[in-house]
Amino acid sequence: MLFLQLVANGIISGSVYALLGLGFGIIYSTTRTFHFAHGAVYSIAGYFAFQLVFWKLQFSVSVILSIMLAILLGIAIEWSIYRPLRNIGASAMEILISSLGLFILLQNSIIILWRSDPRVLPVAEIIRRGVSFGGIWLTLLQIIIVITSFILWIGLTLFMKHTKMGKAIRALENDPEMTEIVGIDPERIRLAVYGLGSALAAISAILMTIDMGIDPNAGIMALLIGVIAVIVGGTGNYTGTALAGLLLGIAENIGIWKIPSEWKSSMAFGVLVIFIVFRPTGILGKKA
Amino acid sequence: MNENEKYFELKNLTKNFGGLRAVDNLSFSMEKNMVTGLIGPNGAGKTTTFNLISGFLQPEAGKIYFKNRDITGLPPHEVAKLGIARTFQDLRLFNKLTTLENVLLGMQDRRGESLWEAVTGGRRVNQSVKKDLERGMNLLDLVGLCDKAEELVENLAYGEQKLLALARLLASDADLLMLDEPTSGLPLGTVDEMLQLIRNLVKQGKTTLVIEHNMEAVMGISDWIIVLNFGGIIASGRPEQIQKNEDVIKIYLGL
Amino acid sequence: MEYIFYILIMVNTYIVLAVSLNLLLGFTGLISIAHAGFMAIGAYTTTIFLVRYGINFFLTIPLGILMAVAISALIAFPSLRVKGEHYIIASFGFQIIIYSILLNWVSLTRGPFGFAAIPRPTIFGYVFSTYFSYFIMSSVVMLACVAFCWHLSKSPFGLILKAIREDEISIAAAGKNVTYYKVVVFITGCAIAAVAGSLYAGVISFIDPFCFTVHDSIFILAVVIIGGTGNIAGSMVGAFVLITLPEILKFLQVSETVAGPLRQMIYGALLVLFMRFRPQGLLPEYKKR
Repeated sequence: MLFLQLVANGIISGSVYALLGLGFGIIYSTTRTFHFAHGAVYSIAGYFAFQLVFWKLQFSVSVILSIMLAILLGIAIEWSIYRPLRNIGASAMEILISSLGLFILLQNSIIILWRSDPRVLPVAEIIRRGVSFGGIWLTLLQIIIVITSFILWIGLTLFMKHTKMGKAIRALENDPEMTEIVGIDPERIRLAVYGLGSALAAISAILMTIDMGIDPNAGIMALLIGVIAVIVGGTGNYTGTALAGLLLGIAENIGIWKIPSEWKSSMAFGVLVIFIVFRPTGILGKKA
Repeated sequence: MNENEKYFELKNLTKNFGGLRAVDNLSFSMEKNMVTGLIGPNGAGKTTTFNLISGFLQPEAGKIYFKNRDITGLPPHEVAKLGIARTFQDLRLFNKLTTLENVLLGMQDRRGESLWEAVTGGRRVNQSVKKDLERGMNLLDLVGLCDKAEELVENLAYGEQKLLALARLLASDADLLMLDEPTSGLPLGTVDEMLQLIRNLVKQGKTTLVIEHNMEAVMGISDWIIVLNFGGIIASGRPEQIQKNEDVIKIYLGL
Repeated sequence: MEYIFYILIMVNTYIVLAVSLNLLLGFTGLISIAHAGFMAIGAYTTTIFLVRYGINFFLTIPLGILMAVAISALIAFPSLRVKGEHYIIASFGFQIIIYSILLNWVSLTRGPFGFAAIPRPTIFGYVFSTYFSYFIMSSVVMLACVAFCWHLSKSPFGLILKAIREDEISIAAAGKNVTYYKVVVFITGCAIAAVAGSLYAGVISFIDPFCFTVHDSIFILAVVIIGGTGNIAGSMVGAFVLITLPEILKFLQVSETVAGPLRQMIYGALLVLFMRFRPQGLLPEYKKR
């Protein structure tokens, strides 16, 4: 019974982790930029949603505005920071470092604005109420989280397979030179990808902020989980990334059972390091 | 050299990339002190052959012998230490370092390259570095780049960079030199300079394998030509024979 | 004005950290954000031997170096197989693992409680009790480390490091064993970081794991980048600027809770600006012609 509960909890965290992986992954596999600042976009979306609701703005409006803010922020970063750097021939290391600097800048502005206490997004109490499903305790909120993540994953997969933009993104991912020759503007696609990735980050952030609250460390943890999911699942392999996120959630929750919680993050990093060193193409192994 | 001791020999070398056979049961040998030209259309397997010899790729089958030693599958730095040096089609110079530094980096067995020597070497290392600098400047003089010694490589013209690549190759003092398209992209005057330098290598006791697309150039400097296509040898012989070979002419005109 | 000497001691400490990270990052191109972890290894080794076993401070320094060498040797080999941006993530992983160990191995490190009342170094009966005397001593140590790194950077060994940064494949083709250089420079850099940790523990009199987080590693990285990659003197300038500048903030009467994040925002912004407008840093590797 306990085991099943842990697996259930794992699936719930895991679905958010899957979203984190997808958000970071779509940006990384398409642009090959290590977008450190993604963690800050995540945080800002979560805090902004909290703040709007705090100011008594309607819940759904707050959510939509926060997602829009994240999209704009992601696009702005690509447009004003990464693109100019690429245009002057900056090396990958230089772009990574500026992303790191940007992350520090944004992350600390959050700390100044909202201090260090965790903030929780208030929602109708009813969805926090738990229900028992054959011995497993779930809240409506948790079910919503899993369903939302699942829908988004399916939606993303369909989008990539069947829409013009989705195919263009895949083209850029696989063969940047060909894409230009065929007449697709890679810069426009990159902007779209940053928008999409940031939207996914925002949704993950809002779900987490409702469920467990957000704190200044959430951004960097979200980034790292996204990175782990992408590396373990395989860059460019969206199914693998989603699966990896899910597995990470399950492993983490089962892990708490047996391993003292202080070692939790080292465990996750241990797994990450092992994968980076020995299997950088991921579990399902695809293009590197 | 007697029959059993070829200077350099490739035997049944095969390399696949997925379903593509890039090098197909390739065999040839080279004698000391000659210039061998390796020609063939794009994708024939010429650069792949270089990569196999210099250790950047592992063959699926076959052997490579150099001075009677089996060097198949050795990593690049060990192949280099044994006396085989190569250039790259895309040069791969150290762009943010100076011209002279690039030449120094081509030299083998410099003093002061290990941590221990660098820290404790003192005067001995200083003297050796001085000699290295002198030798480096001489090599730059050979290719006419003395005045650019302190210039960053990224600021050199393309032709100058190619000459630098040659100087760096010569710095290794290797006796088998492999040049990957040394004249491509060069202005006419520099082409002649480059060809002359390559021809002079024979006088210095070097053996050279050259990949080239410039027919006139390669026929002019080579003692022996090997023609590759689809990873295998179509023809080999002296330049005059190859120029009259019908299969070769067909490949270059008829694809 | 003892406080000014305290600041200068910090400058010295961060100079040692920066010149050693520069060897890894600026010269060899290994982006490591685990440097604070190795600083911690030096700090904790010194503290534990000093406080628990009464070993003289100056003797704990080589012990800290040994510890750092052992641990960095362990992780040097696996991290070799890792390229580009994966390296920074792997180093992040190691930083977190070191931090977790310091936090959780309570019997060894006293976990989150840390060590208080660390005594000042003594030598032949003389106690470095004033910031001024500590500044002189730390300057000697700092200069020794700088001289070592500088000498290494100018040697043929150092030239190969730069070549690895520029083009690993090309330098391998030229006959150099890239694995050897990456492992050796990593271990060397981490060992020197441990020396900085020892210096830090000796003056600060209280350490806990929170002194050595990934944020500190990123700060050291910022010092190297802003000071100038590939330039040892640049690391000295970078450390001086990034340690002393925030002190000026104190005069602006900024509240304590804001000062910390504000400092970080400033060097975050500096990183972005420098990468855009002056990626070579304050003191470039080569002078412009």
